[in-house]
Amino acid sequence: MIDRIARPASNPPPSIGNELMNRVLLRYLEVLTVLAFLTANLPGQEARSKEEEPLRDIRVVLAKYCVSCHGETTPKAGLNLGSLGEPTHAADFIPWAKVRQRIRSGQMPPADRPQPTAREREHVLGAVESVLARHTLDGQPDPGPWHARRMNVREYMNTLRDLVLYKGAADPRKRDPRNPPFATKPDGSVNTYRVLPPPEHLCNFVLQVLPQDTRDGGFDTVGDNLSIPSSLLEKYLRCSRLLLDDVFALKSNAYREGLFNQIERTRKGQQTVPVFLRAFATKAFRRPATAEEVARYVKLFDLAREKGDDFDTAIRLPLQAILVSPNCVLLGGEDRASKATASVRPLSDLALASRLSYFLWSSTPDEQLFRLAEQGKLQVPQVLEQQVQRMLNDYRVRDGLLKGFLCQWLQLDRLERASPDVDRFPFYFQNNLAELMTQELVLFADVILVEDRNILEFVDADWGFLCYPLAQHYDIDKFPGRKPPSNAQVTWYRVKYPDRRRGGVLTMGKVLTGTSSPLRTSPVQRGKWVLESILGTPPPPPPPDVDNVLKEEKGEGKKLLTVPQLMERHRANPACYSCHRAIDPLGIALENFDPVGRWRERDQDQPVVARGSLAGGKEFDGVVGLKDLLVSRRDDFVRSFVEQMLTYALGRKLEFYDAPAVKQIFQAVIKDEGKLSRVVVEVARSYPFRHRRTKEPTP
Amino acid sequence: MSKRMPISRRTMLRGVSAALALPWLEAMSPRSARAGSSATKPPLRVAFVYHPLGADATAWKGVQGSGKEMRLTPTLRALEPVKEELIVVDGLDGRRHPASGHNRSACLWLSSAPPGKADAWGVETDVTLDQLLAAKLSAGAPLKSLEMSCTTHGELMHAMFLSWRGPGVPTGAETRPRDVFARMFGDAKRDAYQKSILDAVAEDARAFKANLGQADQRRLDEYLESVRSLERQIAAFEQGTRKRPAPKTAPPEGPPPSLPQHVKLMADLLVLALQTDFTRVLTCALGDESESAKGTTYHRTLNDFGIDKKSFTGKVEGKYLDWGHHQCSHDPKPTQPLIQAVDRWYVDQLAYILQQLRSVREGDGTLLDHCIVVYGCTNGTPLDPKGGIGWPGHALKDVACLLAGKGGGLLKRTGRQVQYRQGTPLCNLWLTLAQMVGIERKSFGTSTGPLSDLG
Repeated sequence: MIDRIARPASNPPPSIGNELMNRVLLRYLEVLTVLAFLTANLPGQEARSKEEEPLRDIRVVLAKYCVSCHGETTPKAGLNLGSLGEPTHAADFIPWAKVRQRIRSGQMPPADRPQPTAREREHVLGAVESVLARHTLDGQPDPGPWHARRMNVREYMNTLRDLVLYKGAADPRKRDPRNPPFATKPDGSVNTYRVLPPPEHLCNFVLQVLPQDTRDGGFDTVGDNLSIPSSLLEKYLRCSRLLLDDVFALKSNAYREGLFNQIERTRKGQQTVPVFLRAFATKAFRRPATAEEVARYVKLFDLAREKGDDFDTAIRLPLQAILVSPNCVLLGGEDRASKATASVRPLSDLALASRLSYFLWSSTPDEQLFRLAEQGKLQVPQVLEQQVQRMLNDYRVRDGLLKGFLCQWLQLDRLERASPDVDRFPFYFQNNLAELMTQELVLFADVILVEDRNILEFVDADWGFLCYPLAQHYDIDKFPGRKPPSNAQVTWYRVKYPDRRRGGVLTMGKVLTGTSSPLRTSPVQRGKWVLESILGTPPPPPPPDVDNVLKEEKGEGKKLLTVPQLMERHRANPACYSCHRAIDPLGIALENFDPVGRWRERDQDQPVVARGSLAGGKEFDGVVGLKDLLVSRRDDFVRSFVEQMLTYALGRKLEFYDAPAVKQIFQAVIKDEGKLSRVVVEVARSYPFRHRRTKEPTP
Repeated sequence: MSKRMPISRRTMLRGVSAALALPWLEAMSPRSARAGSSATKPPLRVAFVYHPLGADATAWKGVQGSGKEMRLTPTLRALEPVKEELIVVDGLDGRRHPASGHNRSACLWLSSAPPGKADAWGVETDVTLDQLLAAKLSAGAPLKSLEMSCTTHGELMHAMFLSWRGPGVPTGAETRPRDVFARMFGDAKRDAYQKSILDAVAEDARAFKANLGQADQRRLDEYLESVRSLERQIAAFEQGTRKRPAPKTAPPEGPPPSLPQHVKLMADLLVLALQTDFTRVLTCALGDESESAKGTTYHRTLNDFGIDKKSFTGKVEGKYLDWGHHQCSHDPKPTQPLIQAVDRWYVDQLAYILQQLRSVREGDGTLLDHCIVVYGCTNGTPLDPKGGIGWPGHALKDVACLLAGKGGGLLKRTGRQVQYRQGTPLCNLWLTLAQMVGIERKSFGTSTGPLSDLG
C-alpha cells in the first residue's frame, strides 16, 4: 500500500511526457497570442518559468496524507491528486482550488486519518496558492465574471424612492444636531432615531407587487438568484403606475420636490419635454441617456397627445417606460461597450459610481457621485475613500448596508422565524420579546456602523443595548431604566455588561432564540449559525436519507437525556460525526442559554455541561470560552467577514481567483484595527470591484 | 389614464377580504369552449399539483378494483366522487440527488437534468416537464404557462420552485392569489398604451443587448422573454374571441388569512385559468420544501390546516398535536395518524380541484375530460421490509403519484391503479407524458424508457 502511494512522487507516470508536450505547445501559443496583442508581460513570463517547482515540492506531502484516498485506484470524490498536474486551462484550477479550501477549513484530511504538521499544512497551502495565482486572463488577474443582473426587491424599492425624490440627500427623519444618533439623553436613555421606530418606506408598495427574491448564497444581491420570471415586466409596470399615482396625488410631502416639481415645470413650459425626459432618463439609467432613447420616449408622449390625452396622462407614458426599461432595472448597463480587445478592463467611472451606490445604499447614485464620475475623478483612490466615508454617513446606508449586508449576514430573516412554545414561554409573547430582540440586534449592528467600531465587537463586546423588558428577561442587575408604563414606547439604554456572559451577537436573544426549537435548544442549529455567519465555513448539507431530528430518547436511568447527551449519541454514527465534530461543540458552548436566551445553570435537573473542543484544538468551556476561541481565531473571523462583504458587493459567489483581493483587504483591515469602514473602503477599492471581464473565458 | 382602467387601482387595493369565493366561473369560459359549441375540439390542458414534504407511501398502497368497483385507501377517500377519473400510479422512484434533503428537492420533481449536470449551486437542474409541454401545447393561449405556490416564505430556489426553464433558472411562481388574478384580468393588458410602452422598452432591451458585447446576456434574454409574454397576452386580449368579461367581484386581496383559504383561492384560480384557456400548462405547489421555521410549509400544524385536534384523543400522544408537519414526518411511528390526516388534507384539496374541473361543461364533456392533472411529491416515507412504515424519514422510493382526467382521449382507461416494478424512475412517467402529447424524445432526465399500460 505504502509503496503504491509513494510511487507517483518518485516515479512519474508515463503521461507526464504528453503533458509536457502539451505545455510546451501551449506556451508557444500563449507567446504568439501575447505577441499578437503587443502586450508582452515580462513578469508573467518570469513566473511561468518557475512553474513546476511548487507542485513538485508538495507531491511528497500530498502522497503522505491524501493519495491513499485520492489516488489513482479509487479516487474519492473523483479527485485523483496523483495525476492532478499543472493547470493549463481555466477549468484545471478548480480542483486545486478545492484542495486549498478543504485543507484550509480543516475538513481534510479527515479527523481519523494522520494529520499533517502545521508546517506541512502551511507549505502545501502556500504552494497551492502560488499555483492558483497563475490563473490570469491574458496576463491580467481575473476579476471574475461580469453579469448584468436585475435589481432585487430592496434595490428597486430604494431606487424608485430616490428617483422621484431627486435630490434625496436629506434625511426624511428629524435630526437634532445637538442630539446625534446614539447620544445619551438626560434620562440616560439613548437616541435611537436612526432605526427606531422602524422608518416607513415611501415605496413600500413594491413589496406587495414584486415576488420575493430567493437568497441562495446568503445575499439577495447574488446574481444567480435574480432571474427574471416572465411575469416580471407586468409587475414592474404595476409598480411604476402605483409610484406615479402617489407622486401625482402628492401622497407624501416629500414628493413636492423632485419629480413632481420637474413635471410641474414642464407642464408650465419652463422646460421642454425632451429636456425633462433626458434628465430623468439619465438619472434612472445612471448614465447619460442617448439621443435615440430620448426620441423614443418623446414619441410616446406625442402619441398620447395626438390621441387627445392631457399633459398629465401623456407624460406618464415615457416615465413608465423609463422606470421599467432594462436600462433602469438591470444593473451593469452603465458601462458602454468598448472597442478595446483586452480581456479585462477597469469599470468606467459611471459603472463604478453605480456599483458603489448599490453596494452602500442599495440604490441609485446621488448627484455628487454622478458628477464626480462624469468628471472622471472617482477612480482617484482618495476621492473614492472620501466618497465611501461620505456615503457611510448618509441615512441611505440604513436601507443599504445595514439591512442589506449586516442583517443578511447575521441571517436576521431566518432568526425572525423562531417559534418558542407558547405554553412554556408565555412572557416571550406577552412582552413582545421577539420584536425587542430584533431591535437589540439591529441597534448594536447600527452602532458599529455609525461609530465605525472594530468588527470583532460583533463577537465580543462588553457593551450593548437594553430596554426594561429585555433587562428583566436577561436578569441584568443595575439596569438604569425603570419599568415603563404600559403602552409607553420602549426606551433603550446603552449598558456595560458586568461580565462576559453577555455582550456580542452570540449572547443576544435573537440569535439564541432563532436557533432553538420551540421547547429546547438546538446546538446543531447554533453551531451551524456560528460556522456560517461568524466563521464563514458553512457545513455541507446532511447526506440524503438521514434522520436529522433528535428524538427525545430516554437515557438508561429512565431520565431524560440532556441535549448534549443526545448529541453525543448521534455523533456515535461515523457518517454524522465527520461533520458534526465541527458543528456541535460550537453550539454546546452556548448551552447556558435556554431556548429563549435566558441564562441557566441547570437543564432537565442536571447541571449544564457546555464544554467542547474542536478537532486538534484546545478545549473551551461555555460562552466565555467560545468567545475566547473566536477572538483567538480573529483572522478567521475577519477573513470570513471580508469574504461575505465582498460576496455581497460583487453579487456573486467568490472563486479561487478572488483570494488575492480577500488577502489584501484582510491585511488592510487588520492594520486599521478592524474598523468596519475600512472593510467597506477596501472592498470598494479592491481589484474585482473595480474591474470587469470583457468576455467569458472559453472553458 | 387611470380613469380608463376597468379595474382601477382602488379596486385592486381595497378589494374585500380574501375569503371570498370566485363566483363568476360559469360566465367566463371562452366562447369556443362553452357547452353546446363543439365546432373545435377543446385544447389539452395539463396541471401539476405538488404535495409538499412527502406523503406516507403506505397510505397510498392497496387501491383495488377498477371503475365503479374501485376501492380507495382511507387517505384517498375524498377522491371517491371522482375515482373513475383516476389512475393511481404505484412503484415509481423520485429522482435522487447526491446531496438531497428538502432544500433541494422541489426542483427535482419534474426535473429533466441528466446526472452530473449541476447548476451554480451544485444542484442538478434543467428545463422541467411542464416547460417542455408548454412549448408544445400553449400556442394560442394568452400565457405560455402559469406557476403558483401556496406559500408565504421562500428563500431557497430549489426548495421553492417546481418549474425550471433551464439549469439554475427557475420559472418563478405566484404566491399571492391577487397576483394570479392580476395576471388574468390585470389592467396592464387593457390599457391601450401598454403596447406602445412595451415597444419602447423592447427597443431599449435590444440596444442594451448589443452593448453588452460578449458578456453574459442571459438576463437580457429573460427580460425580452418577459416583454414578449406580456405582448402575447395583450395580443390575445385584442383578439375578439378571447375577450373575456372582467369579473364583477373585487379581486382577492392581501395575504390570505389562513392556509385553507389561501389554498382554496389558489385552487379556484387554477380552475379559472384552465377554464378560460388563459394557460394550458400549470404548476401548483400546495407548499414548498424550505427548511426554515414558523410560517412555512415545514411547520404547518394541525391548527394551520384547520384539523380538529380532538379527533386524535387516545390515538396520538398530546405533545405531538402541536408539532409541525415536517417534524412529525421524521417521527412517523407515533405520529402516523397525524401524517395521514395531513396527507388526507392535501388530497382533499386535489379532490376539490378535480370536482371543480368536472363541474365545468366543455365541448361534449367536462373540462376534466380535456385535462391531465398530475398529483405527487418528491419525498416519501418508505416501507420497511415488513411492509410497515419505514425508517428513517424521507427517501425517494415509491413516491405517491396519481393522474386524473382523460386528457382529451390520451388517457382512455381511467379508474384504476397501475403497479410498476420496484425501482422504476418517476422520470419514465414524465417521458411517457411527453411522448403522449407528441414530443419526440427518447429519454427524459434519468428515465430508462416509457411506461407501458398507461394510455
